[in-house]
Parts: sequence; C-alpha cells; structure tokens
Amino acid sequence: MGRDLTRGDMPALVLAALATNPAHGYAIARSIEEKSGRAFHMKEGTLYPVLRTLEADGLISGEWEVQQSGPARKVYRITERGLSELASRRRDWDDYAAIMQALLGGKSDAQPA
Amino acid sequence: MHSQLDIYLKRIEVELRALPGEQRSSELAEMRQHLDSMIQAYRELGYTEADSVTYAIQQFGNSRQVGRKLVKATTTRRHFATGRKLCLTAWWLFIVSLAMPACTVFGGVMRGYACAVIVLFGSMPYSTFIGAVYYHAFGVANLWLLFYPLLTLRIVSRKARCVSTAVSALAAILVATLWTSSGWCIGFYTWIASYTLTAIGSAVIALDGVRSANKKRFAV
Repeated sequence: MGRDLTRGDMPALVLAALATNPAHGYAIARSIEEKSGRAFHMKEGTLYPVLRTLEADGLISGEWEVQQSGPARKVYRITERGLSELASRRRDWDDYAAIMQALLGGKSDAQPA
Repeated sequence: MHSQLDIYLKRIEVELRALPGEQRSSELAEMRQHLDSMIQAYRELGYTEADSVTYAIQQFGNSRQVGRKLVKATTTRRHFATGRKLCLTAWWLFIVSLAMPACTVFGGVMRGYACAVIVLFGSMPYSTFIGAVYYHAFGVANLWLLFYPLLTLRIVSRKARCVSTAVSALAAILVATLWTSSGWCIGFYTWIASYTLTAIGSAVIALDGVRSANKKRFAV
C-alpha cells in the first residue's frame, strides 16, 4: 500500500510521534515513516508548516537544545493540551473507522453475484 | 561543499522574506539540519555525495512551496489576527461606501467620490468620465488594489506592507486635510475611516512581525 499524506493527516501524526518522546524535525519524519511501515510518503518540507501551526495552537513546544554531539537542534515536546488534542483525534478516528467499517462491510456482507 | 543545497536553501530564504530576520535564520538553520541528516542517511545507504543531495532535496519538496507554506502557517495564525480584523472592517466600510452611492437616497455621496478622486488623482481625466460607472469602477479598482491584498494577506513582503501602510495613511491624510466641503459627510467619513483602518491594520501586521522578533531576541 502506498499513500501520500494529506495536509489534514499531518497534525495528528506529528502529535502521535511526539506523544512518547521529544524529537526534532528529522526524527519526527523518520518516526512517521517507520511506524507506517514506509507506506506513507510525504515531502518532508511540509512538516515545518505543521509544526509552526501546532506550536501556535499550544499543542507542542519547540526549544533549541545543545546536543551531546553536533550542533544545537530544535527539539519539540507535546504539551498537556497536545495530549488531550491527540486523545480527541484518536476518538474521532475510531468513530470514523467504525463507520467506514460498517459502510464498507466485510466479506461476510458481500452479496453473491 | 553542497552548492546545490545552498542554492535550494537560498530559494527557500527568498520565500521567507516576509518573516523577521531572526525567525528566518532559525527556520533556515532547522531545515538545513534536517537536510544534512537526510543527506547523511543517503550517504550511509551508499549513494554518492551529489546523488544524496539531489534525493534529499527531492524528498524535502519544492523550495517555493516549502517557503510559502511556512510563511502562511506562521503569519496567518494569531500574529496577524488583529491587523486582519481591522482590514476586514476597512473592507466592509469600503463596500458600504461603494454601495451607498447606488442608492439615490445618498446621492450626495457620489459627489463626495468625485471630490476625493479629484483631490487624490487630480491629473486624471475625470471630467470626461463623470458618472456612476466611472466612480464605481475606480472604487472597485481601489478596493482590489489596496484592501483585498491586505485582507487576504497576499502582501507577505514586509516592504510591500510598509508601502501599503504609507499609501493608505497618505490617502487618509489627503482626504481629511484637503476636503473643503462638509456637505457630503457620510461619504467623506466613510472614506477616511476605511483608509485609516487599512493604515492601522497594515501597520499592526507590519509591527507584529517586529514584536515577535524582539520577543525571541530578548528571551532568556
């Protein structure tokens, strides 16, 4: 399966990627890619507008941090508001998935030709 | 070393010109680090230096789109909300001032337009085009040229916003000081209000960028 990520998918995926650990932009992109089993493709430059929007909404916070090796990097953390937003988006997704499952049905619902 | 990468980042920087200098530098530094990590990952997969840079840039996306989306995400959020509300009010006032002459009840306002046009653009051949169509067309052109770009934040360049602020402030001063007749005060005050609000709105938008830059600069 291969699918291009749409703009609407990204905020939830970024929040989910940051839910467990703080990360910088490159690590967030790799996390999304790896967790999707490389099924989702995105232009990684589109990550930064999403990060700015989430920062402006107070869902994540970004700080420049000096690394043990290499130059300082901007590391993002999910905030309390971000965690509740992620929980809300998960509920919405579960509802949506349940409705789609009911609409599309399984093999048992298929009518014989 | 990576001239292709430098050119790519330079293109993004051009698109980010609407952002305050410090914020622009921060964005570029972050994107450069991301790209450097991607290049390093491709190198570890065995690609040549040149190929790694090319693939990383392709994977990062079109420079123009990356820059524009970043500016849009940064500027159309809370930073510009106040200025945008003022511009929206100015836009509504201007629409009202355009609609009023269409009603015969406010026939005097039409003459108000004529005077304002004469004051602002004395060299135009207004005498040969006297009539509602000419003045409405002029008003609509004015609306689209001055108010609409501010309202929709199409003017992202700080220099363009400053020019727009200056033009609308000048227009407000000219109309306010050179107006000699008090007979058509509805049109008169509507014009002044719309121009003044546009000036204030665009100034707020312009200054807000400076404020956010200062906030970063003085942050401990």
